Amino acid sequence: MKIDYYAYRSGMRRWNSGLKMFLAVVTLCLVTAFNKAAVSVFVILTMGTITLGKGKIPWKAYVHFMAAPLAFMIFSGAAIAVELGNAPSGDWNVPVYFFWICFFEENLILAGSVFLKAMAGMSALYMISLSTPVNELVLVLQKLHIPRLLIELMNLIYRYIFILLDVSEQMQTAAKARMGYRTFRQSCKSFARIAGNLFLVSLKKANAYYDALLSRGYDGKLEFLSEENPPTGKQLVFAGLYVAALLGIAVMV
Amino acid sequence: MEKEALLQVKGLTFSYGEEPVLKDVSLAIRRGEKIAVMGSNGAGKSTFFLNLNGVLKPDSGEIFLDGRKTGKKELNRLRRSVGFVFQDADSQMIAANVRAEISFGPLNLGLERGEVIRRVDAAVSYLGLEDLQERAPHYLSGGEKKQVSIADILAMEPDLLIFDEPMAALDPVNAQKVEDILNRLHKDGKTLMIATHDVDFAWRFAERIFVFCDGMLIADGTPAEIFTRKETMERAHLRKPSIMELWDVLLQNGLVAEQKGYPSTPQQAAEWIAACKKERGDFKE
Repeated sequence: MKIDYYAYRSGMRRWNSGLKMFLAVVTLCLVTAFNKAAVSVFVILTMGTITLGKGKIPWKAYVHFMAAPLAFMIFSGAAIAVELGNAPSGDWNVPVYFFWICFFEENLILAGSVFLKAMAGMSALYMISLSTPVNELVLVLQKLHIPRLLIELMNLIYRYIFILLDVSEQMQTAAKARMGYRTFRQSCKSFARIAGNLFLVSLKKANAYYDALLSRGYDGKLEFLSEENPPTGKQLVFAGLYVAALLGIAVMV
Repeated sequence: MEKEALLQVKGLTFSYGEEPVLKDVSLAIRRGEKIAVMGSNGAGKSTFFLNLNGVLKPDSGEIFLDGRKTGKKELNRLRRSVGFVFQDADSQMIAANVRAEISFGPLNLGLERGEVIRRVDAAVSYLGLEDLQERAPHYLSGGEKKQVSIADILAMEPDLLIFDEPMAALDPVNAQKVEDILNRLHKDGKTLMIATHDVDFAWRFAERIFVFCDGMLIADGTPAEIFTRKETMERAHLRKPSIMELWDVLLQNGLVAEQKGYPSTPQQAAEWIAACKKERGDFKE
């Protein structure tokens, strides 16, 4: 949910969201297609710079966001890099009691490139998700002619997820205040009760919200005024140059 | 001659399932009035508003808008002319940012884009929400949410504005802000109907009070009339406004002379007391 918070504050919020999405998706595709370490490193560095420099995201927060996939990547990278065997068959070998941990140069390189590729993809995705609130992404999808029903659902879910979180937080605080989380057993019980309660409250609120929609003339079509920021020439040139640079590096290396 | 009624309700009855919630309510609202609606929780105020707003359909009874009856097929006419600001602002807001949120009503009216933008801009500047336009509703404070929910309805430019306990859950500063907005709306000629439990607010604000009790309209009159009707007050569990109680005590103790009625503001009370002292000759500067 922190991501949403930063997205609203991003210095790149005013950029045309279609352009940002295009840039992120194209970068992601190129990184995957070329599968070259140099391209990945270039993307990690540049996307990080854009998000931190232009988006003005605090670097501590950014490190924190990147650390989430990092932990996952280290474990899966290790699985690729390391092989266990009963003979020292690798390029480097470490004996452990009765078996060997074998490192193959080939595998290490593969692990490194997978790792870099994944981080590059993440940094491209963070560039868009830390600079564009969900509703603006939904608007881009709407332009791409995603069915209306899905678009409306996305809008409603985005709005109501915050209300749901709010209410569940209040319930949890109330339960804590009444010693509902004192022991593990008690915590499980409280959690179950809150979940059940949340469902009932949701049903009840749904009625009230529907009434509110009707009272403002809702007739089956959820429509909002959307004013988009057209991409500036500078942004277009930047996006073009960026993709060109990516291609250039991929071809040269 | 009295001004023609903006909205007239005749014998309105409504029930949720078996339980009747509104019983034979009849009243008329004239253009430009500011009305307080009082009565304990569950007296039927909110249900009554939803009926006026065309969200709920009455079991029986008629609603006339500008003298024209609104049939079942014309609920949209009601929704267009009667705006309803919900008590819980969160339940009203659905869009992902304030500007989109305010545009929802006007877009539903089927207006063209230019007109929608004009109305949204007008509502935003009326309430001074310029700085909030791009914000998401979940990052607004309670007071800001309330103001946005009022802008939502203003942008639809209804003839009658209904507020369901607009000051509930607001801090004094924000409550005062909402009261200022209500006063401004009245000055600008809007017709207002406000549900409230605050007798002091009703006393200083309203020109007319409706009292609901158990789904019935048990009183309809000026604040001075209603608050001196002991039987009605007891039935609806209403207490007298503090300023009236204070005035009663002053009268009982002979500290002030009998007047035509009660002072409407503390300032007026002070003036009356000063005038009375002067008359009695014990006025010292």
